[in-house]
Amino acid sequence: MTRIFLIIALAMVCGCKKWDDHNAITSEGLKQDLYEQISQDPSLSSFAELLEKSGYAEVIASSKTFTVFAPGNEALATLDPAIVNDPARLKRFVGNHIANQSWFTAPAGKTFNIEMLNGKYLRMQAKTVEDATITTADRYAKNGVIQVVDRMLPALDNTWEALENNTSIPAKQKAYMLSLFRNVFDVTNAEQIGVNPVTGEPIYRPGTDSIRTNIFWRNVHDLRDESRRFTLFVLEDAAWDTEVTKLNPFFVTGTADSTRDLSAWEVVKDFAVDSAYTLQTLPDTLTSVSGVRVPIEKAQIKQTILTSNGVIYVMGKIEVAPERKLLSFRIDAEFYRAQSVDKRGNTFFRDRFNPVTQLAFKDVLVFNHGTSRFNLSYRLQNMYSVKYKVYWVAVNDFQSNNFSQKLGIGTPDATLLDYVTVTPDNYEEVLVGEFTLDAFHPLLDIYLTAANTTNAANSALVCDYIRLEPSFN
Amino acid sequence: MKIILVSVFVLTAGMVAAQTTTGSEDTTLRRATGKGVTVSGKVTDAATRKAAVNVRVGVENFSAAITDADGRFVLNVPSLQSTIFVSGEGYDTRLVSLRGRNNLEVSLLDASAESFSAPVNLPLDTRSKRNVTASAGQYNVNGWQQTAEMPDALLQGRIAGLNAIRRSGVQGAGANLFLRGYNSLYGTNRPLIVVDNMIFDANDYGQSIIANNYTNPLSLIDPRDIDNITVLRDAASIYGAKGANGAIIITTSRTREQATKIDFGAYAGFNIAPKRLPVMNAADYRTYLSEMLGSKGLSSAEIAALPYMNDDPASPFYHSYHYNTDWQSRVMDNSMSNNYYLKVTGGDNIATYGLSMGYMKNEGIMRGTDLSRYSTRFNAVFNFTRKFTGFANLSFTYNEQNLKDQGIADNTAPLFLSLVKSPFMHDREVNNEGVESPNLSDRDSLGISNPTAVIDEMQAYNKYYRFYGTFGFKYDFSDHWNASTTIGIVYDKVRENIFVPGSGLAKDTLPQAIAENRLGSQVKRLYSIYNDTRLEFTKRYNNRHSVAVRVGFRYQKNDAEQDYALGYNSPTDELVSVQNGLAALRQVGGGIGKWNWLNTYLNADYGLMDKYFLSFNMAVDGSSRFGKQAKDGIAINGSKFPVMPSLAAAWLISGEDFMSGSGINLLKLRASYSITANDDIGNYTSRQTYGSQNLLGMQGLVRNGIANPALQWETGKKLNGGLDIAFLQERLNIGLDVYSNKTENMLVYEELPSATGFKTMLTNAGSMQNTGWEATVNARIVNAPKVKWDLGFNVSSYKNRIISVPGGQFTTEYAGATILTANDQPANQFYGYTTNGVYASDAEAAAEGLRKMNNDGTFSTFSGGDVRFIDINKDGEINADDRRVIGDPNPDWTGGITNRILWNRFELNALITFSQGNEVYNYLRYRLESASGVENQLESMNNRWRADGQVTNTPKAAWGDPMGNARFSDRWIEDGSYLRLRTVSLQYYIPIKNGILKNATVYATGNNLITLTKYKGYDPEFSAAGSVFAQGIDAGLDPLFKSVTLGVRIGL
Repeated sequence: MTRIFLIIALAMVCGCKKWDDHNAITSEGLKQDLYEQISQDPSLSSFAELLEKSGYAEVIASSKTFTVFAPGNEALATLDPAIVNDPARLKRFVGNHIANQSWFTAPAGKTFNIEMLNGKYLRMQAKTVEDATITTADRYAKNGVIQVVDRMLPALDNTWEALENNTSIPAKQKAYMLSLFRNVFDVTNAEQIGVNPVTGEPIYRPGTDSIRTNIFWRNVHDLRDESRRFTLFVLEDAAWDTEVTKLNPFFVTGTADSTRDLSAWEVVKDFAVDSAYTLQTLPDTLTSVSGVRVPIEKAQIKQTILTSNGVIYVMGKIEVAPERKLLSFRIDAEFYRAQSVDKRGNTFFRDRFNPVTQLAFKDVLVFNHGTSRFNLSYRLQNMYSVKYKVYWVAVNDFQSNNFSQKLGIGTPDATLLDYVTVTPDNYEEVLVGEFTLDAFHPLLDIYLTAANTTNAANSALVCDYIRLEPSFN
Repeated sequence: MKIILVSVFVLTAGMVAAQTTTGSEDTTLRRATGKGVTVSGKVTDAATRKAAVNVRVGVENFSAAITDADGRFVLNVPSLQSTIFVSGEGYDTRLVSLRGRNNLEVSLLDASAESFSAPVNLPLDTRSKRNVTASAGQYNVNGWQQTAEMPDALLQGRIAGLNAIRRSGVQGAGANLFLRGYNSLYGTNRPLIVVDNMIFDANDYGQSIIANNYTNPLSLIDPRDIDNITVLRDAASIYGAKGANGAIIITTSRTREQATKIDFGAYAGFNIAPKRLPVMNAADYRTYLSEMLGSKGLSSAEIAALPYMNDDPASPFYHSYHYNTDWQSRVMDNSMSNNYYLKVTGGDNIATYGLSMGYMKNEGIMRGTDLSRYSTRFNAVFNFTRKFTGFANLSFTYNEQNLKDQGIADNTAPLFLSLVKSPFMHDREVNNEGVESPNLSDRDSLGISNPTAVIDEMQAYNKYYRFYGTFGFKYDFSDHWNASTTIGIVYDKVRENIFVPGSGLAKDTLPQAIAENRLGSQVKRLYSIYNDTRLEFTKRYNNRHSVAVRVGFRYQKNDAEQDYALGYNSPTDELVSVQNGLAALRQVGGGIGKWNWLNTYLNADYGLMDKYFLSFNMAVDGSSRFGKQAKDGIAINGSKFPVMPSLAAAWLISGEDFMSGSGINLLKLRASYSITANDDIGNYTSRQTYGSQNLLGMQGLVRNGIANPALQWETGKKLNGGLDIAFLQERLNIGLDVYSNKTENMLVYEELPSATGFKTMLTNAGSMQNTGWEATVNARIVNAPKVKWDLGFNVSSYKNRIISVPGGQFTTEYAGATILTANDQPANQFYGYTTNGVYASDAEAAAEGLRKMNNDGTFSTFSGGDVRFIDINKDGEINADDRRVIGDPNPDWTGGITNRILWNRFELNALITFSQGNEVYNYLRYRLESASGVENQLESMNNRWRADGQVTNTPKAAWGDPMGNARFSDRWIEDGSYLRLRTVSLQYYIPIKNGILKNATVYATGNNLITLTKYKGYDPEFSAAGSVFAQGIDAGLDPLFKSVTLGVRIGL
């Protein structure tokens, strides 16, 4: 009997251990959290101190998952004491080494864009992160992973901050870009105080319905966005002046200042692209958001400023010919603003195939509207002061006889351009005529006007598109 | 375990050796002539070794004498081959074969000792175990020691060969009973249960509307009402087509004396909630969750933006997501039980009666669950005249159960929810300042129900009653002829109601709607009439031949009905009854079952010189279930009747003269062969049936399948051999049995060609075999006047083997497991993938180059952190062909060890049960280590693979488990062996001097106090269903628990 009790006693001990064995942590690394691991590694003692001082020690000891890019003690030897002594800057610096979630090294060829706790992004590729090399990879802990790196990962300014703060940025372009702050309609913070009884639109309390923002951020690129990557070109002052002056004739307005402003915008809007190009990867021509092809001469790069979300190149010269800047205006005729008389019942939107371009297209046909000088109106914006050549494609494939139509510049019956005959089955671009604008037009209405008759066949209107091409001759 | 076995055998062997050295005295053969011969002898008390005075000694129907003050007697016997009985007040009755001796020394044990002289209740009569030809075991129930037990569960570990596996820890759930392995795949394997000579229908007809609830009819019987239980392992052909699985004969208590006696018992108990499973705490879980969401494809910014990832206490949802809740303690709790019982017995020489009433309330270890029982029983025996007697046994019991969903019910089973619910949540609503509201929080943002809402707001209750009454008459035409009849009625009704609230719980999806809340009601009824009438002839010729012949019939008419209504979307959670559900979504259904059974039987027993026994039984059965074109059986009037004979013989070797010199008190050889049948083939499966079908708003009838008029009973052929031995004045008794049972015409689902429009059809095309052995040892180890220790040990083992099934093999799916049934192998083996750890790195995985096919036909290759499955057929792909047998739920052996120690006025009873070598599938662990979703996991998942080069045994967290790491594999198969201190009870008989009180006893009982097992679930014992295919699968039913009961019994 004693033997049985012995066995029972023995088995009881084993019985309680069944879970202990099953649940026992099998890897040493998993027994400790990230902070415990870092603080117990003598080669990471400096970083551990910084974690403690910045308050991040507590964060990475929590039960969320993190990746810590921990620089070794040698890497931190050169850290500016000013950063250490400034709590805000220190937090920014240390936060630049910690990311949410576990990021393990992957085979070469795969790049991870990792958001750090300070909001900035670092790129990890194989065993490198930015310009640092991961010396000890994938040291997992209970709540994440440690990547030991051989260099610290300083928290750089982003491109916009660099533009504002970096003293080596040339003054004139910088001044212009910083002058672009405007109040812009935005309802994010708006307080609604009523409803317009006529239109039904909300009425907002004045002063709450707009935000102050830089129109460069809105219309070109938001250079503050850490999650994207930008290349910004800044011209030295002399080159800036040359470029702006070159464009003045095309922005003839009442005052020299506004002309200069418009020209400057025309210059600067093509100077940022949403990729970060290194010197090696920088192509000789870049296409901007507005479609302008900008030639880049690497020899003209005077200075390179790295930012947290890209790079700024200070350029001695970027010459963009006006011909490249001032692009054609193209109007798709089916997207008209208005009809002179409501003839929607006689309006046809057609799907056709163009045997010349070998492309499908859509056009508009108004037929049998019974109105003399019936017209469709269009509105163009920011028309340069220059001579334009006007072309259209008007396909008369619905009747065998000719008819005529015209473009009215400014008014439906303006005589700057004459009636032009539309011959059957012509899929080619047809030169309609030329006209010159003496001044810059922020807005310009043009009209596609039918013949002065009510005869169905003769008063037809048809058009695929209208193209206004600036002419520099 | 082996050591215990060995030590018992060593003990036994030692005793045998000791016995053989005590020599024999007189082996002379002497024949009795004429009036017989004289035998003298002495009877002593085995404990005190003093003379036993006033003990009756005699030969049945011949002579009798009483021992004198020295214990001596002189008796006239017919011959020196006679058997004499020795019987005295307080002593165990002994039958002694003279074997030619004329001088006897008998030392008697006290009445409580286990012996072969004890009477055994058999289907047709009661006789001494010594003269029984069948393999039978009997357990004399002492219900006062184990008041909270159910009659099926209390048989556990008591009878060799009977494997009682408790279903779950729900109060009243009882046990699934398997006698000598399995006899059927799709029919019942439960032995026939007979209570007071009437068949007790222990089926739970129709499914419960409460998930995985089993309404156990045996829970209606109070163990204190049971006198004894006989388990008949073979020769059950007397029960015809219901005897294929043997029989369990329950006899309720009879009144033994005419004096009026009142017994009162009051008990109170404490149930101890099981130890919690080690699921992850809030911190570990949050780390796991963020990894899991990352693998789902959420960016690190999206994960960081989730409210529970925000550690700023000022943020709005900080408080409601920063708890560390132990959900298991929210759904499980210690609880109480109590019961009261009153029994009055008495009578006169015309009639004796016993009346008992009981009340019991057992709370479960799941909060809010309980079982209340109100029971009454009236047993009476009438002596109308000397020749005309009668009896009546009437019982009415009413059960009320508060239940919860359990097992595989992901949205509503509180235990499962408590394991997977994220620990950082709270069960009450919490506002942004961290103030807790009394309102329960709703289903959480991860889509998991609030377990406390299930406990508090979900209603699931069951009201259950059964009237079970028999009465009967017996008329003795002469000393040898008598006729008797028993008439019985069962009326049984189960009413169930559920209400699943909308708030707090995850919503179910119906075909046309979202189920906001669910309501349900069900009524199940069973009405049954029973009659058993027989004519009996018994006679002894010349004291040499004893003959008994009985012929009779049994008739049973059954009528069962089930009606349910399920409703959805009542307007508010306050409207909980089913008529409040949306009319368009209501589902109403049910079923009707009617079946009749007629059993005609013939029994002939013959005994020669009390040494040679022969027993012949035959039954011819008719049943409404059998097909008219059955292959076997005899045809009468167009119906088929199986013929089931059995023959049993026993040779009492110890009665032979040549044994007179040996120290063996009893040696008996038994053999039997019987043919039985199993009629559990479904009421209407042999007929063509039609079911209603809705098609585009038109209602019609469609065929339910192809009729099989040849469908018949399953045939059981049973061969049994047994040996009973007693030594040392019957202080050591051993019983051994070996058997081979074969089931022919076994029901199987045969696959049909798809042109038929049906997938399968039930046929009698299978066969299966069980072979095994059982051993029972009972020993009085210590027999001193003041201390007595009885040790019993029983062990049994079976080997199950499929002889043939159509197609050679098929598989069954249950709880994510695949179960293989194949020729020449056990019927229910786990069939899955084999694993060998986890790939430590991508390179390691690439080196092996294994892949798996996705649902869309593309392939994915395994990588670091995936489970390394073994590619058995070396085709480079892990697919169904790589499965093999990974476990067998059948135990190598099961059994029990009983102990009874008497010391002064104390009595200690202890039962140890064990099951060895059975493998189990841990479904709960499969769910809690599958690492494929937001459910909380076991702490072992902290070891999950995270980075290249990490050597671990736990795969990575991967949303949706794309590589099938959690597939059914040997990861989930565990050793289910256990050894358990099943019941221990200590009682003290208080000395009574007062005249009013006759006796008083206090009880302290513990259940399941110690369990030794390597199994990692809550408890290694569970049986989700009676089916062969559900065995060994821990489907997460509410676990068994420890309990302690204190009680007092007072006799007036």
